Amino acid sequence: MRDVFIAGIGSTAFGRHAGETIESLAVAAVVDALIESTVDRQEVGALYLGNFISGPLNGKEVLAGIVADQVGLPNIPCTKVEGACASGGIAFRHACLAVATGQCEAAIAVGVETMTHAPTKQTTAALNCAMDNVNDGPSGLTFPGLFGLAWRLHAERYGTTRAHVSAVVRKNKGNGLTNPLAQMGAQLTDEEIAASAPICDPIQLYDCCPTSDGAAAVIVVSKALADRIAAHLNHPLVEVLASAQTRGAPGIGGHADLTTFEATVAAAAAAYRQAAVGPADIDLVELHDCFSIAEIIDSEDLGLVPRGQGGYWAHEGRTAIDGDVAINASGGLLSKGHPVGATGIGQIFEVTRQLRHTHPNQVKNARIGMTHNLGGTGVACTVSILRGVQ
Amino acid sequence: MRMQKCTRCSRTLSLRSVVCPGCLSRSFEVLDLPDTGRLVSWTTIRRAPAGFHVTAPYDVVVVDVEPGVRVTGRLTADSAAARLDAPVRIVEMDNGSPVFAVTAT
Repeated sequence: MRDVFIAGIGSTAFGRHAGETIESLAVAAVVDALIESTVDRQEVGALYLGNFISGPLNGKEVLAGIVADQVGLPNIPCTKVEGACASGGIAFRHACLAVATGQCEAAIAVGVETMTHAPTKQTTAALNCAMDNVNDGPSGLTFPGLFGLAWRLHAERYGTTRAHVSAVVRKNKGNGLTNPLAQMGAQLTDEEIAASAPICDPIQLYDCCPTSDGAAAVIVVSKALADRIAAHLNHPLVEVLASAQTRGAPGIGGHADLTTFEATVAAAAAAYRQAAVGPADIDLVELHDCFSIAEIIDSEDLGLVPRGQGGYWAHEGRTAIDGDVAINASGGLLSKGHPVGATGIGQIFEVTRQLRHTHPNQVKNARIGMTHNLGGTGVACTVSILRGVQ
Repeated sequence: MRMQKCTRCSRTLSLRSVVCPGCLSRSFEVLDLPDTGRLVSWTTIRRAPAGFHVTAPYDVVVVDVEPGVRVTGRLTADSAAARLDAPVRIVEMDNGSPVFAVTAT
């Protein structure tokens, strides 16, 4: 497989974009990434678009082709990929594969979602399409409910407390305050978090990411093309060391242990192998904190924190921007928001800025970064590892 | 509660499985599961999904009905309080989903 480099990135702010369409957001992100990359559109050989629910919420499909048409790309293969909340990460992996396998010299991955225009009931119903609606849905389970079940077990087994989990919320909401792309950064106290509305015990309102609109895009290129454009670029290249994707159980019954996601464990193992690095080499990670407790579970599944210690590490500040490993320096989904299909590419955007050393919440001496994107009840997962080329 | 069992490899399957993922057989027999089990975890749903026919709050539970068969269901409104590893019994099926009550230890 050939080496792959990130030549350009673009992202809209995540949040509420009244007056924009789903295509206009995606187009804005792609244009920013294209211009920054200096790559000629004629050299782009594939476009992958990550999106989850444009059909039910916007009545629109074939988005990949629509976006490519609007930015004047050639008649290349344009493909929408879907893996619920992991749709963006999957799009990124496919774009990398298109370059790594020699199908093209440059490929685009773009993720997009618009959700805030729809009534909450419609959005919830659309999101619930990613649930096992044969075996789990009829019980009245919701996605926050899945993480409520996991939290209860994690607390019992490892002693994880409300204060531990609140430390994740405080950190991510705080990081979001200084990330201009974030939807809702905030300075919160433990008391304010504990007083927020109960959603599904033990999960409360501040434990949940908001619904959002947004888009992010990335241009990946071959070594040959990277060498050719390097002199024109106003930023360093970032190398893609690994991009792995795995499947896990599509329903609760398939999870032997609800305090871990086997898809994450397997994707991390595959990514570490591909990249020939280990957890100790990771300076920062953007991981899938759709709910606060998910960050604790993910950090353990990725091998960045010892099993059972995720809550303790967050509480001790070891996952802060200046901690042992910086987790969600961007503010994560809790703060940035979660425009579902855009989230995985948004993570690549954030880590790339860190590895260029131009992030508003810069992790000192960041050299190697990771992204983790998880879909459904853990049915789809991507883990990517990136390295700055300074 | 009923599930299915593959007659070729004995794997336990959901009632709505059409093929055994273990051996790809389509030959199943109906399996009557015990109506008792152990509570693995629970959460109190305070905001129900759109159109759900039960009014929140209600408890969603994960139960191991027998080793290897993990199911999702609900607790009856008048059940004793949920706790981890509590013994539970199915009191009814609702829309294909088991409804449990915590039984005295």
